[in-house]
Amino acid sequence: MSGLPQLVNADLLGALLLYTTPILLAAIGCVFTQQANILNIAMEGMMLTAAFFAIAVGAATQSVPLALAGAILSAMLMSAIFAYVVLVLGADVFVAGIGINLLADGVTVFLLERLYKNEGSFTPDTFPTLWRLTLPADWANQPVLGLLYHMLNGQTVIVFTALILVVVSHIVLYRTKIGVHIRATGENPEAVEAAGLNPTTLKIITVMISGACAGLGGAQLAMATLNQFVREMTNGVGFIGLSAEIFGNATPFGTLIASAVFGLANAVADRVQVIPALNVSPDLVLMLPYVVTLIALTFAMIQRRRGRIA
Amino acid sequence: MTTTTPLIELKGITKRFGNLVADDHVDLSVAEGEIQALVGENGAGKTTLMNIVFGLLHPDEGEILLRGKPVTIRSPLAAARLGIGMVHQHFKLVPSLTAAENIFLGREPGKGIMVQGADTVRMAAELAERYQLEIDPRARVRFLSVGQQQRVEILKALSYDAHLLILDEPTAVLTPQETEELFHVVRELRARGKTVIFITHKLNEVRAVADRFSVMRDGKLVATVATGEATEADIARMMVGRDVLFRVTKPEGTPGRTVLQVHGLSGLRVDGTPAVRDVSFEVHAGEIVGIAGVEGNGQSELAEFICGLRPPTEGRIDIDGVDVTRQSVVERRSAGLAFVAEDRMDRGVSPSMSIAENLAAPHYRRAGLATRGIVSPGRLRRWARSLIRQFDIRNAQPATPAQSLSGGNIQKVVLARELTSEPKVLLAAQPSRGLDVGATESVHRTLIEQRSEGRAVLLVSSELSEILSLSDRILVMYRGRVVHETAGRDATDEGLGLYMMGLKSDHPGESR
Amino acid sequence: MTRDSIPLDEENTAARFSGALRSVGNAVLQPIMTIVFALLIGVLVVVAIGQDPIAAYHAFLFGSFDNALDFGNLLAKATPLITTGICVMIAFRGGAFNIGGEGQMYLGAFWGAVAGFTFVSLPGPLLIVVIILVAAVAGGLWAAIAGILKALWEVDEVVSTLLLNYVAMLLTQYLVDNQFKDVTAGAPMTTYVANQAWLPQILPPSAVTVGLLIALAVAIGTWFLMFRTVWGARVRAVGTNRRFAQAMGIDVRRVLIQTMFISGAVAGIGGAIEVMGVEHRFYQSFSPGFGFLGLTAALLGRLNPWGTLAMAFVYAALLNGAAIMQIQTPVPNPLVNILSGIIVVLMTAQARPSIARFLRRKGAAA
Repeated sequence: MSGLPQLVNADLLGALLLYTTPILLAAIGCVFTQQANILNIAMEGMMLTAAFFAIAVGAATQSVPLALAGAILSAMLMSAIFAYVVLVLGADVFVAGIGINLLADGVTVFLLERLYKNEGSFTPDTFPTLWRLTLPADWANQPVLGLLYHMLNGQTVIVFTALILVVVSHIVLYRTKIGVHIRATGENPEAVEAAGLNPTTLKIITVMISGACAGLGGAQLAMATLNQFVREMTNGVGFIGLSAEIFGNATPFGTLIASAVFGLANAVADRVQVIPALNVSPDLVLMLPYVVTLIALTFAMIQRRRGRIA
Repeated sequence: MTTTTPLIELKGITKRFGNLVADDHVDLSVAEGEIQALVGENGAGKTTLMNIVFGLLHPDEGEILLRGKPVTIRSPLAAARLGIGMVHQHFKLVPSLTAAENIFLGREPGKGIMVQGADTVRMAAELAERYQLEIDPRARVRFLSVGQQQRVEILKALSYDAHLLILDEPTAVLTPQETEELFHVVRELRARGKTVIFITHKLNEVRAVADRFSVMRDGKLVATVATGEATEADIARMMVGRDVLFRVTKPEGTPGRTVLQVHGLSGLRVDGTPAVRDVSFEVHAGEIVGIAGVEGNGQSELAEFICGLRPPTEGRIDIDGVDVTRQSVVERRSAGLAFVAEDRMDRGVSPSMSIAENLAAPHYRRAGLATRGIVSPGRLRRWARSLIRQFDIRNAQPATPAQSLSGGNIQKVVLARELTSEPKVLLAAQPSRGLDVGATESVHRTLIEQRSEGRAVLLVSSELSEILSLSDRILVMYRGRVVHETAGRDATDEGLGLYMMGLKSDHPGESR
Repeated sequence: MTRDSIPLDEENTAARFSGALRSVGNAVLQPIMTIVFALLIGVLVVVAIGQDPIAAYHAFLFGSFDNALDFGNLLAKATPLITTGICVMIAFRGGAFNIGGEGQMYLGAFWGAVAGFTFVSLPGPLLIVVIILVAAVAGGLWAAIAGILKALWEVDEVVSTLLLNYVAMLLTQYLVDNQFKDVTAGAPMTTYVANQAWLPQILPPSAVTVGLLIALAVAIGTWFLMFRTVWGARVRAVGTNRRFAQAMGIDVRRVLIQTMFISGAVAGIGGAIEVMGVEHRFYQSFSPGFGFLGLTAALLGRLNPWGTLAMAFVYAALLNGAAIMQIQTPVPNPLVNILSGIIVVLMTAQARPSIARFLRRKGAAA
């Protein structure tokens, strides 16, 4: 169909990276908690909190490092509450996770109303710019460099951090002692206890790590394109990230691929909206990420079941 | 016996769980460098005792002396520091980590945060070499055989420089070949000056390796004998002989037609290991057939296959001549099967639902409690009340939740529900488990009544006294096979005990 | 990480739910304590933003009862909470966590509206019944998707219903933007439902309509279904002890799917009530998150129909109160959302966790 070349071009790569990043960060956070056998439903709420405080702190201080700190710390605070309620107070992980999401929504909207007199969104007049990669403009038209240009030019520091984080996560989980302990906790907490370690402490650590990842993810969402916060702006990205982690088998690299798949769906949805020639309703295309996620998840469970019976 | 100080001595160790006395003033002594077996039936208190030695439990009374000095063992780590190691029946291994990683979990070599893979492997290899225990340190535990996994566990215990190694039912999960290899390992350990305590109920295997036996029964230590001194019959008597608390007098039975027939049934456990091997037997109307055996020899799985809760891999099950092997639970119930599951809280009742609803669950249509799917609360209540009366369920109103009842009364609810449909076959698995004497008596009386009314009763129990008291015919299961069949009146506990412990078999040459 | 340890297999799912159900079904005191605790936090928040907590809480807690208008609005707010709360309750009782009430409600509302302006020749009461049926089927089928995925392949229904939420809302948005758009209206919405299906108000000028009575009927009907039918007993058996249900010969997978269907159907009916009662047509943002608010009410209501009903009213009072509070004092309305979150977070927390852990360790018998 016409318009397809406009869709499938180098710009798509850029959109791909842009949309994959928050999913990837959510997914990496979920990888850590999943390795300790916690299904992190609260990721969504943690990211929403981070997105808000990224904008709020950034607008107030006009400082990028402080904005990022605000995002990460606020998300980690949420994750600390989650960890406390579930791991220390013994609450049900699902109910508590949903509670965190409700709490995040409540807090962010409350503060939106209170601080900015607008329950819907907050767009600061001035906002410090997040560091972005700038590649030489003359790369744009060259074959290989052009691809790199369209893909990487203008991407925020968080994007690159996320990619590095994939590698770092892999190293931490598979090459450090604490990674071994975390993985052991997820599989057999009794063995961990018998070894003299504390599985609860390890679980709390993974939740806090996921909070930090959520912080970065939320910051990316808020600061990558439009420096603004809109209520409920995460729109399910936390759950997509969770699904990516499940689909990617709770490994960092598997999750990277899964996140890219879901990110692609998002990117296509985004690009399609600006290509009138394709004549596809934006609503339908926006459905794509969720539908793809659900299908992928189902597929993963079918495979898993087969693997277990076989 | 020499008069040197024993390596470890337990004096008057007592442990209670509520009203249950798991260990009753146990005196045990283990000499340095010996292999001692701790034998007894399920529930004799062996594992509890060893868990106390290993620091997982704290004794209510008594003391432990290590080389003559009293010690308090607060935790497994403390035990490890005292040189005591234990390998449990259910391994505490992490499947996706390697053998080396499992052995040194929490004690990884190297100062920094990074794992020193090569060093860990080297240390594990050295350890294996030292004790002549062959394992591949680099292999992921998930891919190791059970015997190999056990070796990893043993190495883990030894890596703490254990002088005393406790093995809990180590041969329960091993093939005969692996068992031989284990014995070789244990002998090697003894040669290196280690002391080993073995918990087991498999006498025939242990005789090959142990220097001495200590027999426990009902929480008490009955005797400690050197291996050569006692005959098999002596040991069996020590293990199972008891004053039977009561013997329900039963009238002479008149068994009728074959109601339940099992042909060549084989099947696996949930984890894929063989549980039941080529089991065949019949149960006639008006008779109680008891399946005896120490738990873990396939009886639970056999019950599940017969009830239709899990599918067997081979074989046939007939109820009153009808082949039900492929039928669902519901269909088997219609064919006349009823069952009392072995864990009443797990499968027997829904604890939070009302007694009436628990009673009625499979019976709404049959008992006319509902018209077109709509329950008549009045009819349900009356029906439930009559059952409560009929089965003498105490402290029970139709509306009270099932979990508010005592264990014995919950079991009565289960029996009431299962028996009200006047089944042809009743399968009762561990029916008096966890019940006090009065409740047990009541259950037994009910089973005898059912027999008098012409039902076929299949009793699966690891309580030998129950089997002896109730059964017209007794089958003994060992390692998934029926190794013995006898008439109830001809059976003795010692006689059955020999078969239960694997010391004798009616079909000795059978391939494992 | 082995797949075996993901808590999605049969035994663990049942254990997870009986655990949560047990902890949610514990003391009657707990919901009250949780609400009180949340209210106390709210006081702190109000003080923190420099406002007078007494004035704020006076409006918040009692504002709905000062006059008929506010009371009527309270009842109007309670109406959708009743249905979404009952929706969650049904699923949970059957062992499933249906978080997709919002999406199911949207689909019910949408297709109910379509029925409403399609079958215009039907007399009033009949048309209302048709709308309700269509809405129920729409919501039910949507929830059944998640039910099927769970029954067949153990796809976690929390994730699937949440994802389907987004899909549902986008789907209705698409349909409203395109095929079913009312070009005369300023914003994306469908044409009006036929006049005879407009639910009359029962306490004008407040917003409460006959829909409240329909919601109450649904609540009563649900009670009957869950506690007076054989089907309901089966559902509750599956929800409380799956292995017991199997032993009774219940087809657990089929019951699961049926439970999700009924659960979604109730949410769908709730959507239809909103459409018929409020704007009289479907518009995209008709629900300010009724799905999740209903979830809170259901959890607070200890997952039985009467508790859920009661809590729907209590909750609606809080929601309405917050709106009044925002008018009368400078405290923002979303305070109630914060309180919601706190309540749900704390809802299943055990009072003495350290004791529970201690008991678990020392009790290991031979």
